[in-house]
Order: sequence, then structure tokens, then C-alpha cells
Amino acid sequence: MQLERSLESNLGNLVAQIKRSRQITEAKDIGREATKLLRLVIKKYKVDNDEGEALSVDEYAEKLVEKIRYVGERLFRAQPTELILINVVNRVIHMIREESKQLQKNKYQDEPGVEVANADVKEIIDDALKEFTYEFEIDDDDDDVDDGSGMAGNFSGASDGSDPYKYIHSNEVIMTCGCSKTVEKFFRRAAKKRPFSVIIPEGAPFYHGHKMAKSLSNHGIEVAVVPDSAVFALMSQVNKVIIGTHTVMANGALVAPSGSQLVASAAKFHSIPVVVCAELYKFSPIFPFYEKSFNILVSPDSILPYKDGDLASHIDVINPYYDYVAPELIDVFVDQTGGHPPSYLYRLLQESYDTKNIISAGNNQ
Amino acid sequence: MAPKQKTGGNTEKAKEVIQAVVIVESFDEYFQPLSYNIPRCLLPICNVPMLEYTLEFMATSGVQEVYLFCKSHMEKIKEYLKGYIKRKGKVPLISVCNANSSLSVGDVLRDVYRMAQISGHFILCSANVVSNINLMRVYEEHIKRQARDPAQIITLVLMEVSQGHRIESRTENAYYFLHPQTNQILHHHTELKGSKSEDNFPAPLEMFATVKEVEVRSDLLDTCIAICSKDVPQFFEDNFDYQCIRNDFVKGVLHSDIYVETMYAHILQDTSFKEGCYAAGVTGTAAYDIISRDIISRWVYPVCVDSNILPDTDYKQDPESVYKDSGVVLARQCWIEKNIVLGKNTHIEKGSRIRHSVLGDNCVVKSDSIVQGSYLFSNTSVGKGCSVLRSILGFGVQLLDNVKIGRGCMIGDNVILGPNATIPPFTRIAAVKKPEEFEDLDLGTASPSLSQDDNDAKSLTNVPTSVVGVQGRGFLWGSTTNYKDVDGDREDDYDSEESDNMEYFEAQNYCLNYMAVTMKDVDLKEADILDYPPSDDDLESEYSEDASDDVDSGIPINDLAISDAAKQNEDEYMMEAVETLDRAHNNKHEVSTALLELKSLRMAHNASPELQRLALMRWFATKIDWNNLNKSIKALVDKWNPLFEPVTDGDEAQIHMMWVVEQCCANIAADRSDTKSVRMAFQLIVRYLFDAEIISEDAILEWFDEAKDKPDSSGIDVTLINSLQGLIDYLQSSDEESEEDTDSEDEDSE
Repeated sequence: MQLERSLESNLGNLVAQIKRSRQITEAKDIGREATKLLRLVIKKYKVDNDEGEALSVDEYAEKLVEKIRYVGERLFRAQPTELILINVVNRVIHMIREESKQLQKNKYQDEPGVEVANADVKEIIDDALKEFTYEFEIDDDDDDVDDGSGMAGNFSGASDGSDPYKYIHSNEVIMTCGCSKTVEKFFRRAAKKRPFSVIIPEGAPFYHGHKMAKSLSNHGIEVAVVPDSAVFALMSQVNKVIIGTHTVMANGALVAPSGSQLVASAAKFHSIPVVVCAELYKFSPIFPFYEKSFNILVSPDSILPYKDGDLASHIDVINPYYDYVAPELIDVFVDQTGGHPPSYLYRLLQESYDTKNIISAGNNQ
Repeated sequence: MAPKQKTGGNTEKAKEVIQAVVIVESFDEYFQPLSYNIPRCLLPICNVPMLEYTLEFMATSGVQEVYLFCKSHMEKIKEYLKGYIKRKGKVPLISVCNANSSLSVGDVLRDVYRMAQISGHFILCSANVVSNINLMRVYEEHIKRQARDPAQIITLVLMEVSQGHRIESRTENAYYFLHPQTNQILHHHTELKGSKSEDNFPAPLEMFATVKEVEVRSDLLDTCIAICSKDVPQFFEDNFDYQCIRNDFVKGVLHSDIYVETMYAHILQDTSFKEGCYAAGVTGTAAYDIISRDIISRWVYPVCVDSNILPDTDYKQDPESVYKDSGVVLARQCWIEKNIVLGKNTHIEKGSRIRHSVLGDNCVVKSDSIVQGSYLFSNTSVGKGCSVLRSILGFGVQLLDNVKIGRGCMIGDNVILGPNATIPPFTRIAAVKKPEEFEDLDLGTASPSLSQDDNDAKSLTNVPTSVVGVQGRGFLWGSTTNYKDVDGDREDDYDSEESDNMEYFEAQNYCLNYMAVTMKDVDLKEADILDYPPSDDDLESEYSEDASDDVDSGIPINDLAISDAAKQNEDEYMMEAVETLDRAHNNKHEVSTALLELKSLRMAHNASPELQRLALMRWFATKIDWNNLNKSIKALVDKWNPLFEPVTDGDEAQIHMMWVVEQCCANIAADRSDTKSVRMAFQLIVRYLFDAEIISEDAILEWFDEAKDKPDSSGIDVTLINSLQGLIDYLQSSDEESEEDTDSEDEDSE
């Protein structure tokens, strides 16, 4: 399949960026960039086919899907372990099909007999995508935190579902882990009305915990940073565990920053509820048949500095960036629409994806 | 000139274009004959051309303009760059510059000066750098420092490595005298490893005129990356004899009374995981080996195999750092051990064993072969029953059946070897004849007509078929431990009296940059130093003859090397055997299981029975409880005596066993203070082995006689042997008793 020149170069840039993975690693950045690209693909796609003949709406939608699928497969290839790409592409494909069907249905009800123009389809898909991109935006501005009028559909807007007051009560002690923007926003909104304190394990060797603690305390939230080894001991003091995640697998398991597994299992032992904050785009339709395949092994340097050569050349050091957190350790998922138990995920996935026709990175399962 | 530079730099800083000068030519022959057909920078490391790493490094660091200075194989580099630009876009802007007349890095910088394209500070590096650092931070620091110290001329990027690190320079010790706060380089000293001056060296006291404290560091590795001010090329232009950055330019400026320019070191620190601190240049095949291993074990993340830097690869990582591209076919029974890269469509057939190796695309390893620590470029095939040890095989090399390649070999493109050939370690073989006076042929740009002639006359190999095999095709290029290749005209900074000696060390150390070469391989005896340099005739005769025939030629490098390879194998066997036994002991395995494991280990290493006995005993000795000698030894012998049985069949074997026991105990005695308990242990071991009928009394007696006759100087522990006197007496008396019945001959030992 051929892409237009400008698209090709955009795609090439994104693929290069993904491959040079240090430039994009956060889920929302990858998601946003991929959505932007797909939106561009749809925008550039002609209403007619190559010979200039008119296509029916369904044909048009399918052609569009083909194109997205092609772009998607090239993106998957760039980073087969990145589930966010799979989520976004499948979501967009689902959107195209749903929106075009919906439009035809509506049109039929309003003015039976009148064909829907492909241009209208394109427009409505674009609108849907535009809305979708809001999911990736988390504003760092303080201003929109208190008013609920901001953008709906993401965590910074106070839609009812993700209302933090449902989950955080006065004077509670919360434990979190990693440095998730989503969780940070969640806490900041809760802190507007309620006092509570947060315990953050530092998260060696990446020390995301330090970063999180700093930004939370900048917003006046009481924070205690503890060594990772103290997680279990402190768990009995904790009322709730609220963590973020990189992605959520279809079975309800998390691919979350390393250290999450530790926190979640300690919570399970003490029967402390574990709440996972995740935007809808993080829910993946892929099942983890081989749990390690979605991990990223980064340089062991932060565990064993390379300069300590004698040892470094004789042993293999593994430094996984993510943890696989099993679904049974999690009590509830909170997304922008509300809270769901892990067992309800299948339903959520059916709404967002065409679960029978998932395209993925081939044999990574 | 400096103040002007400063103001210019400051005002233009915002829109300054970041430029980099990449020296593609290496000016040495470490990779010959592999780099005969393609430029060295396009040789693959983990199946990605070296240049790709460097360009990626530039791109991720945000460099906007890259100037590549190429000399040999320029067309091929240009062609490659076309592809690169097509798939990666035009950022950074890459221009290829011709450096055909250059003979050194200094010449290239003079070219840079004449080109007059460099507008400000620039990055200087060679095209063999593999790195994950954020160069931009280094660059910004350099610029910031420039404001404080307008006389700054260069920032060297250095990596911290501890002593004895595998990536540490093998050839020289480099000392940096740094200002502890600013990292200004006050003095720089290098010396060749193993040279006589290693113990002490002069340091100028003048540096204390400006600073109170000086930090002397010997743990810094040159990464082949530097940030230069605009004036650096000018310096080279003014000093036409400067050849390289560190030895000529850095030292020249630092030692000079005229220049006031200052230099700084940027020492890479481990920061957050997103900014790596790995940078190293592939300066020789030894570095090639190490950097490949570092990439495989992810020290250079995000530069790793499964980042798929090339667009048409789909490497995925399996546990144990095994990376496989699509289309890899592994037989049901083959051993893919850890740290391996397998290229597209590579086939491994049954019974083969691959470890610590990189195989390119479309490689085939037929059944029952071993590939260990080696680098096989694309389209290589390895026949049945071959073994390839720590070597580099070029593109399209064919090994027919039963070819054994010793360590450190370099086999050029399209060579055919075998069947039944044994290549001695450190051999270099190419499909074309080695051009005479290779240095004058501008390295890789050997005239095409010459190679054409060779192609026509391919049947006339100058290698005896005993080396390359009956169907083999290839020309011997000499050994990597051959001192002849050394660059004679290198600028000599050292005292003239020592220069002869220095030259020798330089020659010796030059060879150390080759893969798998150890100090032992190049360490010549005193007499050889006097003879150095060996005349060309000597070398010719040595390499034109069969490896086994050169005993008379004075330098039995090949023999030495073979025994060394064997020794390595022995050491490996020893270690693994002891480990296996340890495991069996700790996990309370059945004796039969341990026996089986030992047997397979013996097969794998082709270990001699002598070696097995040694391994067994060495392990045995570690398991003795010194507080409870009698009991522990008895328990050990009772439990594990079946292990001894297969290796103590016959008198000769049993006598050797006794020697081994003695040797082990003597070794222990050397380590332990209480020799008494060692003697005790020795007696007990012999007794229980005797009781378990592993060693017969005849063997003990015979051994005892043998041992008594040995001179003291032979390294045996006389006290140990004498301590057995009691047992011997007992045996002899029982012997007599038994022999009294049967009509026996008289004993002369009485």
C-alpha cells in the first residue's frame, strides 16, 4: 500500500521516534502522537477511490480501515511490546465503523432515502477522533482543577465517574507508587476539599517516587517518601492504595511501573483495597499469554554501574521497567466514566473495540 | 582570537547550528581482511552497521549537521547514506567529505580547517562510536563553560571504568590530572602497558601554581568523542606534525609554554535511566567483541538489538538475552544458550550449540557444530561438526564439515574452508591475496585490477591445503599476533634511549587490540626482544609454512597459541565440572545423575582423563570439613566413590590419581597454615580411597616409590609423601603376608 508523501514522512518520523524509545515512553505521549497521525491519515484520505468513482459509505469506511490497519501494522513493528499503539489503532478502527453506521442510521431516520455523503462520514469520524485526543490531555494548569467545566472525557475534568471524593475520604492514608500524571491529578483534585496524606515508595532504581512526591508536595499534599523495603511494613497503616499504570491487559492485569507488584501484593496481604486510575485508552484488548513479552528491559546501569566492570562482565543483570500485576490483586479500575471491577473489563472492551477483529503485532502473545 | 570567539559564540548561541565532524576512516588495519571489500564503518555490530549507530547517536542527540570524512570505499559509504537518508529523513543533514590525502586524524582536521564549513563549536567523533549518552548536555556544558573560560579549546568525553574492566584500554595506561572542581585537564600522561616506565612517571609541578589540589585519575576511558572549539582545526593547521587528538594535540597544547588554551574533561555519570552513560569506540576487534556483548546485555539501552535500528528487522528478545529475527529456524535439539543474536532466516540444525555469539541473516549452522563467542556475518554457513571459537567470520564464509577454527581468527568474505581443516588461532584468511606492502595501498582502496587478477588465479592459493582444507579457497594474511603490521612512523613522544624498547611494546600492545588476544599470546621472551623486529624473511617463512612445521623458526606463536586455546578449554572444563559437582552435592542429587552430567561435560570439552581426575579432586578438596576431617572424608568417599571409578581404571590411572591427590593437598597446604591437618587429610583421603577399592595397594606402593625418587625441586611436597609412610608400611606388611602364601619374588624396596 502506498501512502501520500507527507504521510509517509510523518509515519517515518513517528516510527523513528518510537524506536528511539527514550524520546517517547509515557503512555499518553505515544497515544497522542499515534492518534494525531491516524487523524492525519483520515484527513488526507480522498472521498472517492482512485478512479474517481464514488464509493458507498460502507465501502469507504472499509477502505479507510484498511489504510489505518496498514499504518497501524507499521507502528506495531516499530515497538511490538507497546500496547498503547495497539489500543489506539484498534480504537480508531472501531470508531470508523461505528460512526459510519451510526450516521447512516440517523440519516435514515431523519430523511429516509437520502444517501449519506462520504464527506460527512469523514467529518464525523474526525470529530470523534478529536474527542478521543482529549483523553490524552492532562493539563498541568492549576486553574482548571477546581472548576468542572474543563474538558470532559479525561481525568482533569471532574466528570462524575472519576470523582475522587468517592474514593478518598478525609484524613485517609493513601499509598501510591510510580509517577503517574493521572494519579497526581486525581490526588490534587481530592486535595481541594479533603485533607489526606500519601505514602510513596521511592521506586528504586528509577526513583519515580521522588518525582511524584515533589510534585504532590508542591501542591500542598502531605507526602512521606519511604524506601521500597518499607512498603510491606507500612501497609497496615494504609487505608487505600491508589496507583497508576502503563496499560491494562484484557484480563485486568496491569503492566505498571516496576514496584507496583510489590505494593499490590502487600495490599492484598493486608486486605487493603487497590484502586487503579487509568484512562480508557489504556485498556487493551490483548490478553497476556506470555506476561514477560510486554516488559521493557532497560540498561542495568542503575542497578549495577557499568564502571564496576569486574562484576558487570561476569554476570547478567536484568532491569525491567514494568511489573506485571495480576488481576486478582486489583479491586477497582477508575476511568473517566467511573469505577469498574476487573471482572467487568470485558464489557468495557466491547464498547471500545471490535473485540472479534483485533489487529495486533503478530506473534507477541 | 579567543575573546572574539567568545562574543560571537554568545550572541549566536540561540540559533547556532550544531555541527559534528565524524571521522569515518580509521587509519589502521585492525579489521583487515574483513574491511577489504566494504569500509570498516559498515561492518555490522549485532547485525547493524557501525555507522548506523554513530548516525543514530548524532540524530538522537540533536546534531543538525554531520560531516563525514571518508577515505576508503567512499562510493559504498555514499550509497549506504542514500538509503539512510531515505528511511530516516534529512535530519541531521549529512555531507560526505573526501579525505583521500589524509594519513591521520590530524590530516582530517587540517581538511576541516580548509573546508571552512565549521562555524562554531563542533562535535568531533569517529564513526565507530556506540553510545546512549545525551550529547546535547555535554555540548551545552561546554558552551556554558566557554563563557567562564574563554580560553577553553576542547572538552574530552571520558567514561569512568574501574581497573580491570573488560572495556579498559588494553594497550596503555592513561592518566588525567584534573582540577577537582572544574575537571580542567592540567596534565595528561599515557604510557604503554607493560613498559618499564610503568612504575613512575614525571608530573610537572607548574600545575600547582594555579591550583592547590590535583586529582589524578587512571580510571578514565577515552570514548572517541570530543567537543571542540572552532580553533581546533586551526591548531592542527599550524602544527603540521600533529597526528592524533590525544597524544599530539592534547599533550602538545598542555606541555607547551606558548599556548594558554585550556582543556576540560567531561566524565560521564550515571544519571536517570533515560540518559545513559555508555560511550565507547570500536578501536579494534577486541573492542568490537566487548561492545557487541555490551549491546546484547543491554548496557547501551535504548541502543539494543530489539530496538530494531534497521527498518527491515524484527528482533525480539527471549529470556537470557537471546534475540531472534523473523524466520529463525531452530532444530528441536539444539542448544541456544544465552547472549545470542540470530539474524533473519538463520537455521540451526540439531545437536549444535551456540553461545555468546552473533549470527547474521541467512546463516546456517549444520548439525553438531559449536559456535562460541563468535561473530558470523550474513550468509555464512557452518558445516557439520565444526567448531568456531571467538572468531569473526565475514560475509558469505563457508565452513565445510569438521572445520575447527581456533580463537581470534578473522576469516574474510567468501572464504571456503574445509573439509577437515584446523585453523590455528589468530589466523587471518581472505579470499584474495594480501596486497604487497599493504600500507601503501591506501588501506581498503586496493586497486580493483589487482583483486581482479587474484580472482582469475584463485586456484593458486599460497596456503597449503592442510590449512584451508582440500576444497578450501583462501589466502593466508598472517596472524593477528604478527608485529609486522605495526605502524612504524608513529610519532614517538618517549625518551630516545628507550625508543627501541618502546617500539617493541608498541608492537606488542598493538596486537592486544585484537579480539581474544591476551598478554600471554604476545609476550615474547627476553631473547626475542633483542631480535625484534624480526626480519621479513622470518615472517614469510613462518606463515608460508604449515603451522606444525615452524618449530625451528624461532617464534612458535601458533604452537603457543594452540596450547593456550587448549588451556582455556581445560580451564573451562575444570570450572564447569567443579560447578556441576557442587550443584550435585548441594542439591543432593543421585550419584548416577552427577555421573551422567560429568560424562556429557567430558564429551563437550573432550577432556582427558587426567583432567577429569584433577577436576574431581579439586572439587573434593573444597568439600572437606576441616573441623571434622575423618568423618567428612569418609562420608564423601562413601557417597561419591562411583564418580572415581570410571577415571581410575588401571594401574597407570590410579598412580596418576595419587599424584592428583598429592597435588591437591599440596595446593591446600600452600594456602592453609596448619599443614598438620592437611597431612592428616591426605592420609585419610588415600586410606578411604584405598578402602573403597578405588586405588589399589599396588598403585599406592608404586606411586610411593616414584614419589620418593623424585627430586625435591620438582614441586612435590615431601612432607606429604612422608606422612604416608605409616600406611605404606602397613600395606607392605600385608603385602608380604599375602605374598608369603603364593611363591613371590623378592621386594627390592625393603
